[in-house]
Amino acid sequence: MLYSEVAATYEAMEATTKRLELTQLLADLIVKTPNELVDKVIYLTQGKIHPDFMGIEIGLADRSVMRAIAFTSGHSLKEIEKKYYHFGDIGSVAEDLLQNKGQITLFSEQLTIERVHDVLDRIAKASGLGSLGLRLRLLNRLLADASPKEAKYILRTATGKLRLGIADYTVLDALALAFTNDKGNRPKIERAYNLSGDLGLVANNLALNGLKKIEKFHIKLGHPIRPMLAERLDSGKAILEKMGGTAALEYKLDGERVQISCDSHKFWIFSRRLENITSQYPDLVELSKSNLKGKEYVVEGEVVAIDINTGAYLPFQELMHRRRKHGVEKAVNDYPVSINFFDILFLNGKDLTGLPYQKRRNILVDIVKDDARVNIVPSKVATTVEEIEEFMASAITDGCEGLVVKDQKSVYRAGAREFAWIKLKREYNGEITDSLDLIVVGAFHGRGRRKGKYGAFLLASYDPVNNDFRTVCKVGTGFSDENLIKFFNILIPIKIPNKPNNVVSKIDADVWFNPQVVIEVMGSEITLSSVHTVAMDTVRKGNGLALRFPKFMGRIRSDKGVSDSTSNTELLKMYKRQKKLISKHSDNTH
Amino acid sequence: MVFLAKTSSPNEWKVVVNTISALVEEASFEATSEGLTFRAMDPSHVALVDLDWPNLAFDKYDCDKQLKLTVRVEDLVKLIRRADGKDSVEISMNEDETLLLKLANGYKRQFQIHLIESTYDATPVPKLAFNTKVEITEPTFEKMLNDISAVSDHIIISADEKKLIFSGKSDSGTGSATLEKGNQELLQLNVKEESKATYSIDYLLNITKAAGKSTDVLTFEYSSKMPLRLTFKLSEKGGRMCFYLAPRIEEK
Repeated sequence: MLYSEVAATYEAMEATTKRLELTQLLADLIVKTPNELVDKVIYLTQGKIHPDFMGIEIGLADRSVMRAIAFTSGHSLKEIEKKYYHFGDIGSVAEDLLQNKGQITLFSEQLTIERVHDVLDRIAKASGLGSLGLRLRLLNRLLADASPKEAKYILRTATGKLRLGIADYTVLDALALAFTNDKGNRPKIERAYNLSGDLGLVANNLALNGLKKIEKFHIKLGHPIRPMLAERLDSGKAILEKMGGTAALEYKLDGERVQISCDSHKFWIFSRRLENITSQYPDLVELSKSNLKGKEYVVEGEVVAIDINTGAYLPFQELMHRRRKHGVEKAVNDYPVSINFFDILFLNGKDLTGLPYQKRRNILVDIVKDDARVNIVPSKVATTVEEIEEFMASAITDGCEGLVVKDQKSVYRAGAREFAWIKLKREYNGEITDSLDLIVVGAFHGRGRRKGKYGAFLLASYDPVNNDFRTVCKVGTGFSDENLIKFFNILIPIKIPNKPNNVVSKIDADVWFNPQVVIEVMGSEITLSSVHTVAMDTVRKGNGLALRFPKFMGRIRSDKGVSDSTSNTELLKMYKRQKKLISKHSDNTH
Repeated sequence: MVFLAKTSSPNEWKVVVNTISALVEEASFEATSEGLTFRAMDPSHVALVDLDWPNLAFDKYDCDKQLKLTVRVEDLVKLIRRADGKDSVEISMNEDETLLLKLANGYKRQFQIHLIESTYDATPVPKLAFNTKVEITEPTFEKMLNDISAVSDHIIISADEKKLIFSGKSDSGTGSATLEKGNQELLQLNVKEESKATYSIDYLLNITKAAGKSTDVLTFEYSSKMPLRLTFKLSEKGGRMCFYLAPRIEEK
């Protein structure tokens, strides 16, 4: 098939913005295309050469492409730059300048789809030192045979700027029209797309095997399944109504959602946007190997940066250090993560997406061996608004964004955004500006670099009325190596064998101390907590308060005694003040 | 030693590298027991060189298996330039994938260059039938090209049974150069059908200058609006270089 036919269609597509017309144009093009080339035409029309998850992009810079135009057209770079400022698009520059290229080539031949796709693919895959020369030579050869119009679209594709407005759903409609003459068949085709994340593959299957086979399309390991998405509601009450009275609650972790696909020894990790991010997370591959039972599986989870000493989740920004192509090994060590699984879609040859949530979750629990780095996302079944609120409070304290509420009977609908899953984010965001002075009451043995020292500390505030100490947080960040040695030495003399009676704690520390050392910490806000005991039952029954994202500020307040530390009443005031601030803020915005 | 080729003068190599360097950045020579061949097209597919250098044209030639020797042309040009007029040139390859170049004329020099991986596909030779065949002395051809380049970047070559006309035009003016049959510089003019075609002067001038180092006579063949083929001998002992050039479209 000649590329000129594709280019002619692109030109027509550019002339319209109506979706129906775009769909029809694409459908007509697909009908004209030989079956075995349909995938390539689809990729090219979306400005790609492969599905996104393969991570192969052409991405030549406009400036490099100018050199190719200079070469083929015989115009100077200066003239080309001038034209570039005039048109603002490298494709139009080529179209204009190649109008009168004058020079014929020795083996002029019309460009075919196969050749254009093949050469662009070779350009994309050429890498390494000095590869730009090779990429430009390949492009020169293509341009030598291209008509001005073809050159325009080839160069836009090569620079990643072919923007024809052909969205995924337009392709799906066009495929349904082209192969079944009925847009009503789109859901059947869409299903296959949702399971493979690859429109070319689906088109190819449809072209060669027909709609009947597409209906039997199944999950392919190594291809990303389009994730099921959650709707959003802002009250527990509305959610319970939607779910019919019972709902499964899950922590909504503040990390990156990933899909891990395993085919015996091969692993792929895909992002929510279906990019292949396997190379960023070699540690996840290892954790999957060691902690998941099963030869073949597709599981979903949330990767979260963690403090290896407290096990606490760290904010999303910490995880962003892992977004890199180079220095991955160092990043793996510097920014450890945990993987928190929440769904399983495929296991040992069986597609599990048709099973209800609770069954899938049970299977997940069966195959995951949890430890410090591998968890199953905490969950709980709720039937009352109070249960939802309580679970929400502990999620927030644990560093989560909120909850994802799931219908226990719901199947996994790849690519769908429905009320079977509902996001519930917290109503307010607190903020505190003052640091707190808290008392060290316990400690936990260090891991990794902190081995042999204490890795994290349990902090409490003094309650003058009851004359006891109640826990506020577990802190592990903000300590230098020096700090840790100093702490270890200071704390040895006050170490005691068991939890002192005047310390009220639900957490079991590795080591307990006489409450007397005061340190300065900062946090992001004060939240309700079912774990920490300060101001227990004051705001809500069964809940205390806690400091979210605590960080040591570097100072031991030897100038302060325990009675000078931040008290439970001060914490309560801070909690109320930040809440008031928020509701004031909401008043203004509503 | 898997390959060795020696010539008593550096001229052949100078012609070869000068011709090639104008067209490509890397060169893949094919060596067999029969001799050395090379074929490449410039990246824009406008010009193509085809070299045939049989074993008998070398003073010494050894090659026991088929080999592909790909080098960066720039590397080779630099070394061949070091050769003086009376130097012998010996190129050989060991098992270790490096090319050994020895220049000697009493004073001996030895260079090594690394072979690189070829990125080009095999180049076919265009299948062409020519209506006009011209044999002309090299200095005259070069002079005619230079004359026309004074007014234009392109040369229009017209031939009928009686004469050969080179002409050119540009915004600044026109010019022409004529050779009639019987002129002693025009050794052969064989016209089956009147022919007229336009070519880029740069390409032609460049190859002609290179050819001048090894030969006094050039042959070129062409047809109207079709590619031109220029052929010349590499040395008296043998070896032939063919150069193909695609035409330009006549300006309206």
